[in-house]
Amino acid sequence: MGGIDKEYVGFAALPNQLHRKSVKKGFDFTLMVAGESGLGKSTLINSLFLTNLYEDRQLPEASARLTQTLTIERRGVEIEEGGIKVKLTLVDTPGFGDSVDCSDCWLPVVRFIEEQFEQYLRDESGLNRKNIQDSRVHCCLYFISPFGRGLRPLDVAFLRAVHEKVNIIPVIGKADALMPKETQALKQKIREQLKEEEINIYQFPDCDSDEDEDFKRQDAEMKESIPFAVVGSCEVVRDGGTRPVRGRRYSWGTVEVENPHHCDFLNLRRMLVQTHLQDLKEVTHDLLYEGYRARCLQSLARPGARDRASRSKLSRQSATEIPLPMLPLAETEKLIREKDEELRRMQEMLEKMQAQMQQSQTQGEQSEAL
Amino acid sequence: MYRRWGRRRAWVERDGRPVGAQDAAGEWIGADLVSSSGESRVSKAPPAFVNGFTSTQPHPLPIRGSFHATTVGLKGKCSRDVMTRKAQHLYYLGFQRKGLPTSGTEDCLLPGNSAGDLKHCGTSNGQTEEDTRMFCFPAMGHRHCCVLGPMDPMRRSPSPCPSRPSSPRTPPCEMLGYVGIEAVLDQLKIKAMKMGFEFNIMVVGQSGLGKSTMVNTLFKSKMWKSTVQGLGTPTPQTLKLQSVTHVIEEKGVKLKLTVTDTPGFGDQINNDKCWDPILGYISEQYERYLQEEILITRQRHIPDTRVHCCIYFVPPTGHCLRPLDIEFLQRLCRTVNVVPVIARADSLTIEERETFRRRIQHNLRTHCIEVYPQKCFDEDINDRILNSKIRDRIPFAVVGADREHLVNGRCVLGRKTKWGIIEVENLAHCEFPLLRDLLIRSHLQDLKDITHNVHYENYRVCRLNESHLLPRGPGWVNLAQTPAGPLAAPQPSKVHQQAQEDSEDGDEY
Repeated sequence: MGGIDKEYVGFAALPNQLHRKSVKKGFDFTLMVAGESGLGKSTLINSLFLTNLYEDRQLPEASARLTQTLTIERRGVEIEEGGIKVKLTLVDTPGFGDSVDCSDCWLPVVRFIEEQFEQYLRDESGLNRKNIQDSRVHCCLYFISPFGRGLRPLDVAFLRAVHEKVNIIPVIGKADALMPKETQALKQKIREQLKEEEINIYQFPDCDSDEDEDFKRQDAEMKESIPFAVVGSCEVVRDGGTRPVRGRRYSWGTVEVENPHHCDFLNLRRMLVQTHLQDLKEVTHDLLYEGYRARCLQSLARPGARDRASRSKLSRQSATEIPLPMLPLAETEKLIREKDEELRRMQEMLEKMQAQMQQSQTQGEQSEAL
Repeated sequence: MYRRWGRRRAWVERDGRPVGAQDAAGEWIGADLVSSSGESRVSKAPPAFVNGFTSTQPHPLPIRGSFHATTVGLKGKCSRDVMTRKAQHLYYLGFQRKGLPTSGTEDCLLPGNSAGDLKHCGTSNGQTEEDTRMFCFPAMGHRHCCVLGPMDPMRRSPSPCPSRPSSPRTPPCEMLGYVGIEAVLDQLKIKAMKMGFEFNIMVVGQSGLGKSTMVNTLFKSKMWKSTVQGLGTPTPQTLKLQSVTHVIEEKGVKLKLTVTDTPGFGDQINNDKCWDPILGYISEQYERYLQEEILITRQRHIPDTRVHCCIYFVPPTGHCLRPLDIEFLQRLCRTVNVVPVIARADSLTIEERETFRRRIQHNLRTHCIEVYPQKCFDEDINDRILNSKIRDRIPFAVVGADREHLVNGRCVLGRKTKWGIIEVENLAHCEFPLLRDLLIRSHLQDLKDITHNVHYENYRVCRLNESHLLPRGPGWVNLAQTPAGPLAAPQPSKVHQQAQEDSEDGDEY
């Protein structure tokens, strides 16, 4: 007994502590959905989280759409399952790709994402950091039309604009319009195009080599099926003798949403909610946010930019009423040190010159005396 | 009480040719039954009328209880061939009322006048729809010589008769015996078959909506090589129209079909003015025809490249028409017949289709977009009834496929998915048969007529006004040489000559 006690330290229980703390704290997750209207975005979200997030949505009429511009809408819902609370925020982009001229229609989206980063940066650099609200967008589900021949020019433009700022998961909406061969061909084409245009979508982390074969296989399957071809539905179809399933009933058959042979809904749900939710948040924080922060601060380090930025920042009231420090302390110190060095050198030079002058003076006096 | 026509055989055939009518008593009834006084030669029944008029009653409907020679006499005893020919120039004005033969039965050939009830029982006798289309449905109130009214198959409505019944005092056409005018139909048919038909359609829509597949399915031939999803050429940067012409033949009838495709429509980020090349193409075809038409020595048959029908593919979003759709349709409906369809409708359930369709119809009404069949071109009540049914279902929710699969032992065109096979020609699955019937089987000629009589004429009037050309009298165009514009270029000499001749003739300048 004693021997075992000596070896057993006890931190194997740490994950449990983490678990308890997380459960108490709850999770929050911000998901953005983007894509043309009519690709089944809202249905898919409702199916994913099994809540009707779009209950009060009013679809605009055709005449209203003629003058519609892109707006950003946020909806929040708290989902609880098994004692764990998830505070889900959904960011929607109605009006995307609807108008005749869609040039620059992605700019409001980019601005929104950057605003969230900026808010977080300010909160992080402020004094009171106890309750930082993380409103950064953790994941963007981008819906691609199943009727096109791959990515459309608008898709490419949007993805290029946001791929360094948010985790992108491309999704093919309304995939029940496609036959199996068509789905494969379309996925292949999209993957090629993404590579060609150098768009960085969210990369699933490779599973560890010590995972079991089953898990590895599942993982490989999931990676193969990106972009996910999904079908969404909240209606339960009861087909006579068979058990009730969620699906869409057509006169030629019923598409089952949760059938892996019919669509990739299960894969998407597993990946988004069950296995990689935390990873998405981490990548957002460690990679994307840090990248944004570095860019932001480097641009501030340039003198001209710095002044402009400082003025604009001071003009805006921050919550803590303290002007945001422009540079991290390390950098200011460096500058100060440099300046100090310069001063010191200059002082030394002056002293040397003074010494020389004195010497020459004394020498001159001495020579005069003699 | 309706007297069964059997007691009063309206037609007697002799050697397969209709001779006249004999009633049960053996008396010849014939057309002189349509006497001015409305009296029947034969019976003492209240004023009989073959075509439903009585002298006393202004109402055109037959009085209940009176007899009518149905003059159709198409009951089983007639041979099918004779019936077809007869059917073409015969009909009875059976107005459906209680006790009268219901339309659709074998006895009576015609339209019941109950609103919306346009079944011609021609179909029950095994006639094809083409034949029944050759019928002239008498509008209510018309007086017809029921016996040997020859029919102009090219017109669908009866010759312009006064809408109110003419006074029974006017002498009817008394034709005793067989003249043979009906053979005109055969002549026309032979000529048409020799010359062949032309039909030009244009398909417009975003890429991937199944336009090429739809054309292949419509004409059951590989007009285009439909590209598989994901493969094929990338969408072009600008809109380029491509035309393909094929001659297809069915049962001796040749059809020269030209299909114009519009790849790249609506695919760019900025789709403003993407409709201009299409409108330009359509105007160009009208211009070509106009140029041919104003020549002094014209060709016998002007090659017709005008777009007769434009099929617009609406993506199945399920919400409503997009701004691009509305802009395009508004502009196009003024120059060409447009038939909107809901493309790739296999992604919508039946209920979703209905809501989408209603919304689209509402949008079209709000924005005053008149799609084919246009309400204002309905010539008479029958047209209106037929076309209302079509208008109720427009836009059709269609699915296209050019692969065949085995379903219940039959080979059908369809799309095979893991949850079922979508049969293209099954009305329960999609409305492709309705589209095909509209475009090819029933309204092909009408599309061409409206293009020629309405759209082309509008274009012509605009062009002539533009070049300050004044029409001199019906069908006579005085063409002065225009300083600029395509009219000047091709045959200035001929045009000028004609203008000179005209100016010599007319002193009204």
